[in-house]
Amino acid sequence: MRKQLPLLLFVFALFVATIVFLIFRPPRLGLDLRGGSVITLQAKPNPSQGIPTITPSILSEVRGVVERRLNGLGVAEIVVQTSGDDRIVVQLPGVNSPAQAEQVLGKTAQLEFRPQKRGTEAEFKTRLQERQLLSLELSDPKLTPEKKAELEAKLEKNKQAILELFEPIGLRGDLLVNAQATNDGTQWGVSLQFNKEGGELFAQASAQVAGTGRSLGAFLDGELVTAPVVDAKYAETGITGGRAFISGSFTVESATNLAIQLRSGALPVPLEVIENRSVGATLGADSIRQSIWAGLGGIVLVIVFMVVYYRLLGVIASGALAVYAVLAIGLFTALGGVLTLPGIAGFILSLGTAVDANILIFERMKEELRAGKTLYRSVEAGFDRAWSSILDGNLTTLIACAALFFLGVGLVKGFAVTLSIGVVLSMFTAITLTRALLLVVINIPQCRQPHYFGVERIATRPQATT
Amino acid sequence: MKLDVIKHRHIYLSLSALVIGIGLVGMLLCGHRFGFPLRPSVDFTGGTRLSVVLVCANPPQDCGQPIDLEKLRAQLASQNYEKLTVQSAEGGRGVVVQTGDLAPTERQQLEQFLAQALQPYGTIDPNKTQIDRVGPLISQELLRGGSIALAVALLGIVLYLSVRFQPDYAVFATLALVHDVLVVSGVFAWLGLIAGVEVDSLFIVALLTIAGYSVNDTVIIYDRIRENLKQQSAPKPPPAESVPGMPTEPASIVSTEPASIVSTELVEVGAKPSPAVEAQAFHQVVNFSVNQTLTRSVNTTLTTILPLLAVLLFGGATLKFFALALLVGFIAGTYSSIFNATILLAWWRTRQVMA
Repeated sequence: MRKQLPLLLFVFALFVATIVFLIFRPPRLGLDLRGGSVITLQAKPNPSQGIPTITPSILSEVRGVVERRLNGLGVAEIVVQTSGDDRIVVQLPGVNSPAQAEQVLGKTAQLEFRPQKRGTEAEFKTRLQERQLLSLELSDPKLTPEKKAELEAKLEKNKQAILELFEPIGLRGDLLVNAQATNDGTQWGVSLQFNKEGGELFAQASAQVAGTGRSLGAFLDGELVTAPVVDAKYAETGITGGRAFISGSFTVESATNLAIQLRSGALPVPLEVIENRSVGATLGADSIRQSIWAGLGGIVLVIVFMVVYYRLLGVIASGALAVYAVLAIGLFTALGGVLTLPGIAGFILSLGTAVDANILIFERMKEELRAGKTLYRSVEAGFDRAWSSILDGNLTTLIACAALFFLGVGLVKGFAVTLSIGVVLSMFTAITLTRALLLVVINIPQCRQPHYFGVERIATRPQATT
Repeated sequence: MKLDVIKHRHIYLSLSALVIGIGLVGMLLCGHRFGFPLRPSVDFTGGTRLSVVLVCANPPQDCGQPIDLEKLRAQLASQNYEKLTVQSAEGGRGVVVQTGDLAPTERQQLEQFLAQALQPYGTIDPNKTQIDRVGPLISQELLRGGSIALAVALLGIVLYLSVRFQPDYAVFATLALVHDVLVVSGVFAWLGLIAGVEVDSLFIVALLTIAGYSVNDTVIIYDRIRENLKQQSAPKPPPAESVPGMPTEPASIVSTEPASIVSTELVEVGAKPSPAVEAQAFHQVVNFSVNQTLTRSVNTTLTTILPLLAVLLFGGATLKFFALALLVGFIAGTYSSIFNATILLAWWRTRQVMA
């Protein structure tokens, strides 16, 4: 009794401390429980811009641009992480529809102004008409996938042809200092402010086409957004002051998105959304509620079974189980884990496996009691001889968890973590806590009733045989 | 209750073979229909799954009329989506639409189309929308990662068991494990065919967990067989002697008759018993060990199953089938540990003795 007391006090203090810890720092919830979007983007090499492979420095540059663009959306607690060689993982809490984020990230936003080349007026006109026609055909919802691909290829060709009608002079988005969505009184557009170098280039470009009937093209990712003509009065000096306004068929939203993209800088390489998991906030809340019921239901069922079948032993095991449950959540939280739905599943499952070790020990104990051993020796023998089975069984589960953790992808890792924590911790509670509690209980004379342990009789004196 | 696993071995093994056989037929049918032994979700095929629920007009009872699924199917079919499936959800007030891989803009078009098509029934609740888009790259990774994890876990478990036990024990424990995985796969193949249940990454997690846990029961019984064999070959009287006098327990019934007979025989014959006697002895030890550990095999499985039942009853849709997979797997696991693993071990050892 005296030997067990320090251990029991220690576990009890740990138990209370964990509860206090959890009250002040509840476990962080994954987006599948809180509601939100997890978007995985893949950076694509951009050989035309001199980037044939994605290097770590390019990826971190991409990450920076992605972060700035998303911050422009005004969503709180955005997490942007790089993953692997060419991935960016974006977490957007509380976003019901990831559409805007996808739009903002979907373009490299390489803005470029180009003055139109001489003698291209006629071709420019026909190309524009062709483009309009193709876009119209593409908007038909009844298109077959083959036809659609064919039209898209044509449109891409048209885009290239138009781009070549204009002369590159190096007036790009990286020379911008600001971009704002603005309404000029009749329509939405994006007003731009260039830096000094950009302002000079812009003046030069506008002077080149002023009064000629040719236009100054604004291209976004190589696609013509707008091609205004410049008034003849600017032929001398060009449009000075470094200010410009891009109009086109903008809505408030698309103008805002473009302004965000331009402000945050162009992406050095195109990004493609390769995975998107979005869960509405209500769905997440439903999952939490259901999981809590499932967890409580599980623990109650296990306790009822243990107490009915193992009597006093079951009561002890249930106490250990309650301590285990609190410590497991606490340890998981302290390790900085984020609770996801599969993680909760792993935890609930571990409630059942946690008492397995107890069952092995109790069954062995009862066997020893029936063989005529005293209570104390039965407890000791139960623990000693069940130990190898417990270890074998738990180690194989840990092997499976390790495989899952190191080779599994995405959400399933959460399951592996909670189950492993559960397995290791349950071995600890089964071996130390249950044992200590048992040794205390068997020293209380009132508790030494045979039917408390589910046997007929308990030997009071050690037998000579073993 | 007393089990004679060796005597009725043909029944037990046939039952397993039958279940696995039916399951394999299901997997073949699935392979024919989906090109995959089980009905795969977007996790493995790549694609977009959009699930929407309409706002309930007068909660909780009167939410409005249910969605006409056939009509919606026809409307969506005219849109030329690849691999389109439309399923009902939330008691008819929600739908799950699955298509091939959609780019963000294409998905938004689909969302708008759905919002329009569902207008007569109500408005979509944005807080209950779930989007799962898995690109082809990710789906291949999930499938490959899952398969590799499964293979590595199996290998790791076999290696561990080979170190801890003799190789033949490890082989049979692994066979029992493969049995469990096959039973679960078979059940889910049929669920996929009949009820449209799909397997996702969580299913692979379930298989891995079953693999890790399945060995549990087998190890407990093998441990006991090993212990009993040791005590039997030792000059001291076997532990069976200490057991009599407990009429309610399975162990006692066995031990008073065959186990003790065997042991006395062994002592009389001495160090070199005839092969037939030795085989018989091994059978008795196996039967005896199975019955000795029967309660704990059943109880450990029961306590593991109870929380899963709670998940099945109260848990959300995502976890329900995960819990079901584990449930089937654990029950199959206990069965294969008690019967198949021991029967095969006894058969193998007997064969070796006879040879």
